[in-house]
Amino acid sequence: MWRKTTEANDGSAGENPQLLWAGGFMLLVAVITGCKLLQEYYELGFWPMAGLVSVGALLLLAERLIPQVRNHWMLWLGLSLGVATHIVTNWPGPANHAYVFVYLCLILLVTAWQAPEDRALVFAKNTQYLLLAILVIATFQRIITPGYLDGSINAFWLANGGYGKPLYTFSSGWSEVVRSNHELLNGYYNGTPYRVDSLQLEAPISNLRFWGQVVSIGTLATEMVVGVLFVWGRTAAWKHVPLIGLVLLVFVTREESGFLSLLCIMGIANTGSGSTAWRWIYVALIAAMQLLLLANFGFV
Amino acid sequence: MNFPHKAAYKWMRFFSLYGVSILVVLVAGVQLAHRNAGLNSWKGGGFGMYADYHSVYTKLLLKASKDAKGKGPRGPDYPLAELFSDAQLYPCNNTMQPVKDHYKHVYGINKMFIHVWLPVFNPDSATIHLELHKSW
Repeated sequence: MWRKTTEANDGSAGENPQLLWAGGFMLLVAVITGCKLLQEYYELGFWPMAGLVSVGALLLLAERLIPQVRNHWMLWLGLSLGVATHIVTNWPGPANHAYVFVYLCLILLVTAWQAPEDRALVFAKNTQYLLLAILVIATFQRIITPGYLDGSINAFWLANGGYGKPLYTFSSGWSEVVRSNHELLNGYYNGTPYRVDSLQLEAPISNLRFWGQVVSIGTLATEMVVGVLFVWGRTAAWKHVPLIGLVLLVFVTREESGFLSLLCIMGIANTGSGSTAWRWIYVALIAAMQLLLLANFGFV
Repeated sequence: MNFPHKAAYKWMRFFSLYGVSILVVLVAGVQLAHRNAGLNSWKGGGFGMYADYHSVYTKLLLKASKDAKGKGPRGPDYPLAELFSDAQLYPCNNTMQPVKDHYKHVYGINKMFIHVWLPVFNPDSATIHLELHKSW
């Protein structure tokens, strides 16, 4: 399990294809996320942003092409410490995606410390447990929140546009209702004098409570099924179907490109020699999502 | 790394497989404790996105005491947004004090309360109203 002293100790995380792809995409996500955050913070135009992305791409290529530093454990230690410091110093502001990034860096760090023959197994197992833990905790949070199971909270998101932007943009009626509700809420919260009376919104669909409950129950069921199947499936190729289904579902409902790329990296970690086709699907998904992020579609 | 002792090897093997997941659960436990104290479920490492209303829908209202001195409060302007976002995200003494200090500094009010109102949406009538959560 842990590297024996007789083995070559070059500090790299080995040459398993899962590790190489996952490591590369972790860095790609870090580079693009970093560029996007700098762009937003300093309000960079096209050319400064293009320069920043080019520098990031060169660093990424250097890391990939130099075997001595490729997937080195110090890289993952440095990245995890850097982002963890950001989380601690800005707590509770940073998004949960930043935590997932740190957890994945720690997994790559632990994996790099294993004996070469154990790395693929340790990497895959850790990502299975990580995904299960995240989905169980997310489900628990929803269950204990008043208004979630009765559909109120999801009905609010349906009426206010928190869900399904890529879907409802094709429905001009729904789009118009969401825009109008958004403006009403903006006035309700920011207008003076302050209001605490109730505000009438327009329901984008009939039976709003029912559809809110459908989203609530559907979300809970999906999260639990995907989490359990991903661990239970061990090395089976079919286990990638529910994970990719979850990625696509979240993408069309919430456009969280950064988080979904991290989910795909967990998927790559579980693509052994019998499931290389799935690895290419994850690769295509991450590439598409990161390109969309650069094109200002979706969230970091 | 070489582990001559079987027990040490076993522990390291355990942590190499489950250590990160245990950390995830511990961080989420801390977040849940803070959530019980008022932290919005969207943040803090507890994976509660979309479980509740976002903190931008938490409304903070400032009330000057009847015997307060000063020019009196007006609507919050742009520079207050950052102070408010922290207070909206986690309404507690630590986040409310900077808001009060700001009002004291800008308007000269010496006695005030900040009321925290949380949203409640009724999907049957498609109406939203605010309920008083706490005062500071």
